[in-house]
Order: sequence, then structure tokens, then C-alpha cells
Amino acid sequence: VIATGCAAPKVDVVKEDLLVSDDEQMIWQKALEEQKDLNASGVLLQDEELHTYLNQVVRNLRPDNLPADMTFRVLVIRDSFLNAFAFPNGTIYLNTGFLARMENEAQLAALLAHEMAHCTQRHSLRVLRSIRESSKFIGSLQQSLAGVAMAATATGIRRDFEIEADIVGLDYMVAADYDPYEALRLLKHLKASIEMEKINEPYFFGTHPRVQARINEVQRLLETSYSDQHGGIKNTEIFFSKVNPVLLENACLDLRSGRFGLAQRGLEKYLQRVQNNARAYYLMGETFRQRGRRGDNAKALSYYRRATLTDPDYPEPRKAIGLIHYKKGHKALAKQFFESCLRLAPDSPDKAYIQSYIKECTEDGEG
Amino acid sequence: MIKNILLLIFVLFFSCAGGLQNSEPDYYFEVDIPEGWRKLDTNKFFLITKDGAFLQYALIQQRPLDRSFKHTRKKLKKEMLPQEAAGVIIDEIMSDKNILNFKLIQNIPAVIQGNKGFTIVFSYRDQDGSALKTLYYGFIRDNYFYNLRYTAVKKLYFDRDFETFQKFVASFRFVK
Repeated sequence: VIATGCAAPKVDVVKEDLLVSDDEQMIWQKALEEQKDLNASGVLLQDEELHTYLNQVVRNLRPDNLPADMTFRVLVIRDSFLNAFAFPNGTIYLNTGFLARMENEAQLAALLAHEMAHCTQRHSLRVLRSIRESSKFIGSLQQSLAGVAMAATATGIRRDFEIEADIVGLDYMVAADYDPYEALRLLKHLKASIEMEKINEPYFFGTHPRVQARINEVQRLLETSYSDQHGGIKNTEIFFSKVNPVLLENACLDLRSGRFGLAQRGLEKYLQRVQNNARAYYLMGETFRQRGRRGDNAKALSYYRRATLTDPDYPEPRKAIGLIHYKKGHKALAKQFFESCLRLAPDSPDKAYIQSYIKECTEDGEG
Repeated sequence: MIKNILLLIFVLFFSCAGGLQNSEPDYYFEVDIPEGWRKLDTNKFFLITKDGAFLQYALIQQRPLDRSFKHTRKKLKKEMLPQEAAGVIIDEIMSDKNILNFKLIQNIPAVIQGNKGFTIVFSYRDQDGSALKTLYYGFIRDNYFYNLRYTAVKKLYFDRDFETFQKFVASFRFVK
């Protein structure tokens, strides 16, 4: 069905009022059901201050002439992949991985404006209608097609809609006084990031040729329609004051998925603005210890020490130092760190492991 | 309990496809299949169930250490401590987008047939919304990671067959 939809002829801009037609009402209803499942799945980031900020950016971008029912809301998903998508009813989901790789508010605005444009241009409805026009087997499949139409929009299957969203999105950016050249910088920066990590990212950017195609298109637009629009709002410091905690959160996710290079870069970016954060130092240590290349243990120890100096009551880096010494056979030294960890966190979730290490260190003595 | 002794010879066609060089198994093991449970045919795992795999199942996997995981790029290494191996497994599970509302209930050291390993217990929801619970034993022996898992619908099924699974684990033994 998706393939049929992709091959379908282009459907013109929807001229009727929002939510007048049965099929648009159905598609919004389907969106609400999907959002309900997504919101209950435990993947959403809970950060009220960040959400207030993101929704303020969306308000800055929202054109005044939109119908009252076309409202926007941004929610953040704890996921380190580069992805963002919008439901037709204006709810935009944005991954922490995307936020973590942006450089300023204008880049955030570029992404949000693109997603808003998918909604204002009613792409899901147009996908649904294009599938129907080219298919003869509709009937009871209406509900399923609504889901397919939303998925097709979210995954950027219709390249013409992606380009339309870029064009309309740049308009929104310029109208809100954001620097439109940041849209291009965001695309280039992300393409470099994808290539560096050899990431086969789902959805938003998909494959390298598609990223390049979008870069070319945005470049062309900037050189033609927006050639006199250099400058504009970037709000770098405000952006980082709100988004910096996401860098730590996302580094944990990158670390979990074994993307050590991305975790390291995210943490370095965080530490550029927030000095002496024990958790960031600890996570940096974890990144090196878990990567485990030659020389990584020494780097990890250095970061763990900085973490304990910054926060002497932080148990995790002590445990990690203990583990490095334990594996090297320095049992007496390891024991000291394990014991100090348990003194600080007597109910540590991995208490049983630490107690077993201490027992073994006591029995073995210095190795 | 009817004692069924199974000699499992891992030819590991799947492992070969994943890059393993040798096609000969390094280990054979035996387990006693609990009465009323049946073995399902799968080339990847040794999997048994009583009520159907959607409701409850137990499985054993012998996994070459150099085989990549699906969701995390981390790898298990021979020199890893059980806690570190447990960490990789938890990261793999938590990185799986089909696992929702993951909650780690327990992560402790364990000894499985004389091998130092770990036990983790966790609950989660699958994409269909079913609430499931898993008890997972794991250990590294030579070039393989062994895991013995029991997953069941949290309500009604998990507690019911918990003891049976523990006996199943206790019956696990290497024969080479």
C-alpha cells in the first residue's frame, strides 16, 4: 500500500477548511490513538522547562493566519537516533539525539518549522487521498490507510512533500526572524555526523543521497528566494541553557547503544558549557572504560577521579575505579574503593556484586 | 516428571552466517525438559513452552562472543566480569525499541553449574501491550555466552512456572 502511495499522482493542496471532511477527522482520530500509545510507552523525556522552551519556539514560528484548530505541541522522546516526526494534528515528536546534535535555536526552529509545515500542508491527508485515487481496493481499509498515510509522512517517503516542507518551513523561519542559513548548516552538520559514525539513521534523513538532495534543495532556495536574508536570530546561549541537560541524557543513550564516539562528543559539548559536573565526568569515564581500547582505562581513571573530586559523595565513580583496580589484580586498592562506594550508597542496586568483590578482595589480599 | 535427556549439537548455521569461523560445536549440554512442556523447532535457540510461546517460554542460547548484537554495538568479551556482561545484556534489551516500559527488578551475581555469571529479572511491555516478565541467567564460558531465560505473561503465568524453570536451570549441564 505504501508503494502504491508513493507511485500515486500528486494531489493538490487541500482547499477545504480543516477537519471538515470525514477522512481528515479519521486521520486525526488515528493520530490521537497512536499518540496515546506512544505517550504511555515510557519513552518520553520528562523536562518541563525544556518543553516550555520548545513550545515557545513553536509559538514564535506559528503563522497567525492558521486555523484555530491547528495548534502545535512538542514532546521529546528519549532516543539517540536522528529523528523527528509530526502527527497531522500538530503534535511533534523530537528525539533527544536530534536536540543533542544541534548548535542553536535557529537550527531547532528549522527542524520544527519543517515538521509544522507537514501539518499545515496536510501531507498525511494528501497521502491518504493519493493512495485512494490510485487504488481500487479501499472500502474497509480506511482506518489502516490513515495509519499508512501518517507513517508515510513521518518517514519522508514522499520526497515532494519533504521539499514542500523545507520550502514552507524556511518561510516560517524567516517570518519569525530566524537565520534561514542555519537550516542548511543543520543539514550539513547532520550529514557529517551520519557519515562519521556510519549511521544508517531511520526516518528523517534515511540515506546519504537523500540528505544530499535536501542540502542541494535548501541551498538553492537560500541562493534564490532568501539571498538577502543573511543574519537573524540564532539564540545560541539560550538554546544551550535549556538543552544542555539533554546532552547528558542522550550521552547515556549513546553509551547504552555502544556509540562511544557520539557519547564522547555529546559529553565534551556539555562540558564546554558546564564545568565541574561530576555526572558528566563519570559518564566520560564510563565511555572510555566500556570502549576498552588501549589506553582507555587510564583516561577513564582520570575522569573518575575528576568526578570524585567534584562530588566526593558520588558513589558510582568509586565503584568504577574499584572495578579497574580489581580487574588489574590490585585487590587491596580495589577493596578501598568498593567499600567507600558502599558507605556512600549502602542500598546501591548492584550491592550484591560489590559485596562479592569485597569478599574476594578480602580473601585474596593484594594480588 | 518424565526425564528427557537432550543432547544438543550446535551446528550453528546462523553463527556461521554471522562470521563465526568454526562450524564445529565447542560444547554440548543437556537439560531435563519439564513434564508437559514441548520443544519448538527453531534453529537459533533451544526453546520450550507449556502454553505457547506468546504466553510463556524458556530458552537456552549458546552465543559466540564475537557475534554482534542487534540493538547495541557493545560486544561481550571473554575477560568481562559477570556484572559487565549483565550490563551489556541490559543495554541490548533497553536499546530495543520493541521493549516498552522496561523495568529492571534485580541484577545479582549467580553461579550456573559452577560458572560465575549473573541473574537479571525485568518486566516490560511488548508492542502489543502485553505485560511480560523475564528471569535471565547468563555466563561466559570460553568463547561463548550462555543464557537461560524464562519469559512469561506477568499476570498468572510468570509465578506459576517460576519454580519449574528453576529446576530446568538446575538440570542444565555440560557434557563435554
